[in-house]
Amino acid sequence: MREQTPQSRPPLSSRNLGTRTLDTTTLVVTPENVAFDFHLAGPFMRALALTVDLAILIGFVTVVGLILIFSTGVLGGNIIGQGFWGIFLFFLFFLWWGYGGAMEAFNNGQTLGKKALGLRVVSYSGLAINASQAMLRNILRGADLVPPFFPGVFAMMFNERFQRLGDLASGTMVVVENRGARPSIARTELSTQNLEPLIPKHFDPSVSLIEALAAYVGQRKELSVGRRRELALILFEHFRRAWSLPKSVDPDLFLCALYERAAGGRAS
Amino acid sequence: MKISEIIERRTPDWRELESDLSWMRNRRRSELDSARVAAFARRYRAVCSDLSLAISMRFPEGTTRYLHQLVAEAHTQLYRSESFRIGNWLTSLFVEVPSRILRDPCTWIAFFLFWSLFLGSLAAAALRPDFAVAVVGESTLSNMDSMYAQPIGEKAEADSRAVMTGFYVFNNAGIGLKCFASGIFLGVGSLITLAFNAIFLGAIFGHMLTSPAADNFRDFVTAHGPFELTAVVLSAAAGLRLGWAILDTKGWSRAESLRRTGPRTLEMAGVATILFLLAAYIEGFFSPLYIAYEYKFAMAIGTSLILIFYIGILGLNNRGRRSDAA
Repeated sequence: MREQTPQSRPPLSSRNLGTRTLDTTTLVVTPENVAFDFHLAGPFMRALALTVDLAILIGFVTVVGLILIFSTGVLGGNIIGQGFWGIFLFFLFFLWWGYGGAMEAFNNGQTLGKKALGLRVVSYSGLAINASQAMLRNILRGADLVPPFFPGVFAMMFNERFQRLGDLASGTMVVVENRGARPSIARTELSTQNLEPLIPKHFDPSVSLIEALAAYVGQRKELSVGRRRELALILFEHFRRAWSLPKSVDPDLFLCALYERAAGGRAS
Repeated sequence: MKISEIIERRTPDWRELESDLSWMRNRRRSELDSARVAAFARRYRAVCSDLSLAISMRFPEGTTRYLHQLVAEAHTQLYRSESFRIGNWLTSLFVEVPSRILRDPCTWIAFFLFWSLFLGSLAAAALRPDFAVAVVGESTLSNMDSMYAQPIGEKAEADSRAVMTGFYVFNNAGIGLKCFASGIFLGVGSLITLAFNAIFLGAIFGHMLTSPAADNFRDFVTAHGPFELTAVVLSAAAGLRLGWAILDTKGWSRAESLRRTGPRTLEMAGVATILFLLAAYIEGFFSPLYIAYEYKFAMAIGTSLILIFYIGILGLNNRGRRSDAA
């Protein structure tokens, strides 16, 4: 590994803004001038959410339909008038065309199916959608699901945000809110104080070295002790030879100390 | 300061923001305590700067990912959907939308296409009986003949009227919305739906008006005709406008042009849906009434006047055009 001079480092921000098309995230800049990533929902998760919604709708309509069959005297017995079928059809229209739009408008971008799968509809800007966007994208679902071609699936393949036609027309995207798999806040709970003096004062790590260290420190807790040692040794060997470190130093702990110094030094 | 110390010190605030989020998620705006919302906004901004720091200082990857997610979720909660204001909605419905409908070439393309095909098909079916058979089909035509063989309304009861109204809403307004949605395919879907309906309805009209049941047919269709046929035209016009936005982008990218046009076409489709609902109500409750034809005719004139007032008079203002330019 070759140490770079500070001048040759790429600007820190350019990494996030360049080529991102391969990733399933989209970058949003907030009014607070912070850029953060949204994880986009792929066709499979969205189809699942739609299935849950359809199951809820069909279940609800079936129950109401059964109640009407038994109470309007289709099978004999006549509790309420046949006219309730008219009201039923009237509500069926609003349920079919309005369920998704109303849920997303009043529930901050989530139908019940999306809530179950941890998905949410947001605008390009990352802001919550308004009623008009919610209605439009749901009415246009009809066009997205025209068999046999399912144009919406094709549309999702040809843009960076996995948008179907309804999303394109209303300026929305579907993102994953991954509350379940919350990453733990990684930190080195071990004391690295006694290793500090071993690192030379002029140590000036490259960006890629810091990133490699950060990735290691972030994930070391999920690894077994043996695996940690095996991984850490690869990098540790280089520094042991360069700085002639004693053999007794624990590679894992040393990389933690190195990370503390490398990243901490940059802040000052 | 070391990263681990920063993370250590900031973690309580992050946990606090998390509990704020779960507190806000299940409450409506009116139920939120303003002091806590203010504290939430303060914490959110602090976490925003934590995220910047995490990116520039290369915090451990898991922590950075965690902060990305925390900021994203707080962001969607802080900038929630705007509340629904009935006043804005009425202004749009009675001021901006009629003006846009009147000035949109798509309205008039759909209008002339529908009426020329409808009248052409009507004339063809009236002059040559086999035209209607070819378009509509033998069985549908004989169904129509037997449906209108008796004067209407004699046996209609309130119950069956309600059922039919519900059916007209579900079926007709649904067709209208499908017609609008299929306009996203460069307007072609809407034009096909419009042309098909114009020719189909024209053939039925031509056939029925030359049949022995002409009077009964006329008694039924006159009253709800203006609203229903205009609704069909407006649905197609809204779809055509949506598709046209992809072709004529006015300097925007295609996706951006579509996004800017989308909400306006939704308003037009909304007006069409309202007309479908009104037409269904008339068709279900007024058209089957066993009353003199003059009343039905008066209803047709009245509804036509309402349409002329809505699109022709309310549409004359310039508000719609001005908001388009903005």
